[in-house]
Amino acid sequence: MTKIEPNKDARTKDQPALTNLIENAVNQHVIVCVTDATGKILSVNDKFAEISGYTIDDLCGKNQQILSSGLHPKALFDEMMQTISNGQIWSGEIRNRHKDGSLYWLKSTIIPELDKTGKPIKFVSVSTDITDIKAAQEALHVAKSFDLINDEVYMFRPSSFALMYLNPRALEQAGWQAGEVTGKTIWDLNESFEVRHEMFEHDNLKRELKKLKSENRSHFIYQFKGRGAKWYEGKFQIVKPEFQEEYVIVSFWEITKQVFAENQAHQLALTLNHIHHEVYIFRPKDLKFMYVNRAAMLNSGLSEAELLKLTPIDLNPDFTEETFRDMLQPLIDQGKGTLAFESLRREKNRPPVPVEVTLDYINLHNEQPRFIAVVKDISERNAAEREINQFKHGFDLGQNQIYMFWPETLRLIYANKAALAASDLDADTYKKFTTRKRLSKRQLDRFLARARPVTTGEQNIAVTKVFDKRTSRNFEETIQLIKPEGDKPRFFVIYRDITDHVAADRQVLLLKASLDMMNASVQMYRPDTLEFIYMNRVARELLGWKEDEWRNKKVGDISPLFDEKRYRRHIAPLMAGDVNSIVYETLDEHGNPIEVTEQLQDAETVDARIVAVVRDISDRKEVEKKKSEFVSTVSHELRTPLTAIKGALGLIQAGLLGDVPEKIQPMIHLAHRNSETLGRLIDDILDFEKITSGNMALNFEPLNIADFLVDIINLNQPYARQYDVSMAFVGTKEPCYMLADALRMQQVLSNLLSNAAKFSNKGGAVEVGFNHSDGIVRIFVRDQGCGIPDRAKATIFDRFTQADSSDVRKTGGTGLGLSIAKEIIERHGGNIWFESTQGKGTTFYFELVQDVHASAEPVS
Amino acid sequence: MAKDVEKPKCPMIVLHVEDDADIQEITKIALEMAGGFELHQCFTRQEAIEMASSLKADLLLLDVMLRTTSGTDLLRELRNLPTCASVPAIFMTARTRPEEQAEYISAGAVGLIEKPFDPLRLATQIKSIVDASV
Repeated sequence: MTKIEPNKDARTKDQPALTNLIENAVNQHVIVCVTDATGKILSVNDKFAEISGYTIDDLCGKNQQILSSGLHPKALFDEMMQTISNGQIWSGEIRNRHKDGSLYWLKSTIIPELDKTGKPIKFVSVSTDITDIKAAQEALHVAKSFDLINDEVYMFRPSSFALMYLNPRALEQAGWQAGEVTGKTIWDLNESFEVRHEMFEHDNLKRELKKLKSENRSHFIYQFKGRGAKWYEGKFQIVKPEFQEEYVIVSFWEITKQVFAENQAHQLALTLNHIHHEVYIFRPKDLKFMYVNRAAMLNSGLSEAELLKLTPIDLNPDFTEETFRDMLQPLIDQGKGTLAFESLRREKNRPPVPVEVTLDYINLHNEQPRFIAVVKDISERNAAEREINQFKHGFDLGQNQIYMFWPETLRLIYANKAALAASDLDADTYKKFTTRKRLSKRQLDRFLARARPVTTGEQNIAVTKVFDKRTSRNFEETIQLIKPEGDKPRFFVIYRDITDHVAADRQVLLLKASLDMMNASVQMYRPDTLEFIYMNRVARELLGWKEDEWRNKKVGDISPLFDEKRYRRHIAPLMAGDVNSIVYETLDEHGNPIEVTEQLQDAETVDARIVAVVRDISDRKEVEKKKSEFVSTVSHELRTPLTAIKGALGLIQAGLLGDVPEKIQPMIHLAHRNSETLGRLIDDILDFEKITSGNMALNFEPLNIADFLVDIINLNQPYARQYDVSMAFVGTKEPCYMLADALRMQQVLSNLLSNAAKFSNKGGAVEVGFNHSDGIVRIFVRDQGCGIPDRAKATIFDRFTQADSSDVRKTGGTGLGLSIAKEIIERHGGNIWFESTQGKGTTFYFELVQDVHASAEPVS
Repeated sequence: MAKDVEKPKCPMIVLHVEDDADIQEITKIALEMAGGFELHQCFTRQEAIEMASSLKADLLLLDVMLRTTSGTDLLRELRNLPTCASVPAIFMTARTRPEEQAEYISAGAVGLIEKPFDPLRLATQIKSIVDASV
């Protein structure tokens, strides 16, 4: 579009001549250049200088090559040169380069000036600027190409936002005629649209265009929801022709279907990612995975990127490419189809997992053919079968007989080696046999009766001990009804030879029977909870408990008087390992004498148990009683003659039967003294027998200790005087009581006091006293005698022991006194001991429980 | 107590059953020396029953371990005799365990003299037991 502007000068200046006028006029409009035959510029007009960007001086003398754009093919210039060299006029369109590098179009006519020989001397080119025309043509050409397409196309100048062009679809949307576009801007579009377009808003568009420029990009594409809730994609492309102002082509096309499809695909992908079957899609060509779902990644332990480099063969070492392709080929040949097989998924550091693989071949029109593999973990579904398989493997090696057969027909499905061997069957033919045929009717009925809880669904498993008469072996029969998914239920029967177990069980039974035969009560219980583990017949009978009544019962359930704390204190030495067993005698609730032995067995193990054996010791007591009676009788029989001897000697010694010759007197005295000793010995033996046979009944009463000691001292004072020994109570006579048998306590103290006197030196002193603390009373008897020799210390409380055998003669002791004293103190729940230094004296101590209650009472 | 003062003039008639002749002898000497006792002695159950029937005894002094019977059984038999129904009885024995003592008491004895006894103190022991039982 050439614009012809009126020359202002032309209107104001005078017109000297028409030629000048014409020349001037031409100069205003026409671009003129004169070159010599070599192309050197001889002269140009102002217009030429203006359009080229150079000055006239710049150009004159230069080759016109300076203006070449270098864009035209050489053929154009060859044709031009040939024409003008021949003296002919050439016309055409040439693109030249401006001084600033931009391009401009000229429509040129080149007129050669010839010499006389007809050779060109000069060339005169007269051109007009057709740059704008060219641009319009270009734009129109671009625009016209949009008229045919279904997309909406808008063109505008980014500088002014003036619309340049709208294709018919766009015009339709805008509701305009083609002629109405001129003079409108892009902002006018939003006024016409049903739905305003975001990107045609002033700020949005400017921002986006600015962004494009700053990022040096030519276009951007975006999606938007437009009219009728349809999805569109929009493209804004900046077109920058070399020679003209840039413009923007906007095109919108509907992508609702694509978006929908993409959404579908997205949804599908999501769905596939949520199912826990593995889904692999791979190309038949190279078998490479195209798609894998999340489960596939999780189960393979590989990332999506890693998987997409692999093929199914990489994941399943059961296949080689050859075998895999052989398997796929029929599907490819048919053009469609499904293939399913079971396999194992092997994973690192994990046991293989059984899987079911479904392969589908998809070959849709316009789509790349593909295989879809769905890998299902069937380990759960296959649990039952797998177990059978395990049994199959395991028990073919083992001794157990395994049979599997249909419940209705009783036809065998499976029998392991042991079963085949036991049934004289052969691996190939066993399936022909039915259990019905192999068993007698009675056997079959019995079997069905045993299986009934399983067939009725009452139980999952029926375990029965059966005896095989033929082999004389015991079996444990396990009947199960296995119901594989989607298959009929079947009997699964295992026979385990438990003959040895039975033997072991028999041992246990025999042992139990023996324990039941025992005349003692045997109880076993856990030391921690005191729950019974076992109880034999006698124990049950004693408690009046039925066969299994002891189960879930504790020791405390035996008697309401059971004191668990006390009992735990009682067994503490056992638990601590201080003693191997605790043995004690007591009376049962019927007053019968019993002996209880408690032992801790397998301590520190889960089987730790206390075994309490309670024996009725009535018989033993009877024997003891007999022995006791014997001792008593013997003693009595000894006493009778002793009574006569002592009596006779006493009468003689007293002089009641007349004077005794002086010579005889010492002998009478000796005989009398020894009869006294014999009497004491018999007394002590009787006492000792009484105590050890448990026949010593203690009559406990509160004793005021100080008063009691003083009484005993007074009683023994005459005896002490014989040895010229003084006896005295030391300490305060505060009221303090102990619970004791007065007679027995007197026996103990008399023994200690007489010993003290006996072993004191002439003129020595014996001190008796007591102290108490924390509810314990300690009584002491101290002498200043010879002391107990070290060698005798350990055995001083033993029977018939004296520090020195010669002492017997010297002191007339029996050697039973201290052991009796010890027994008595221990029967009182106390203990007795001594401290002795040879040559300095001995102190005997014994401790008893203080009767705090009586001690607290006011003295009456 | 006033009675006791008169007693020496009227000796205590004692039936002494003891199967050991030596003990009989010592008992006899002891009580004779002390005085105040009229002692009738025998060895066996049969003799004792016969003697008791005809004797108006003031005291039964019985050994426990007799050859043919026990002192307690003998006492029960003697109690059936009108002459002995309420006569105090004392056992002389070496068997002095509490349960044995209890047996003597339940058989009807008023006291016990432990063997071996002191012949010099025998009369005193007997008298004090009898006095205490009255």
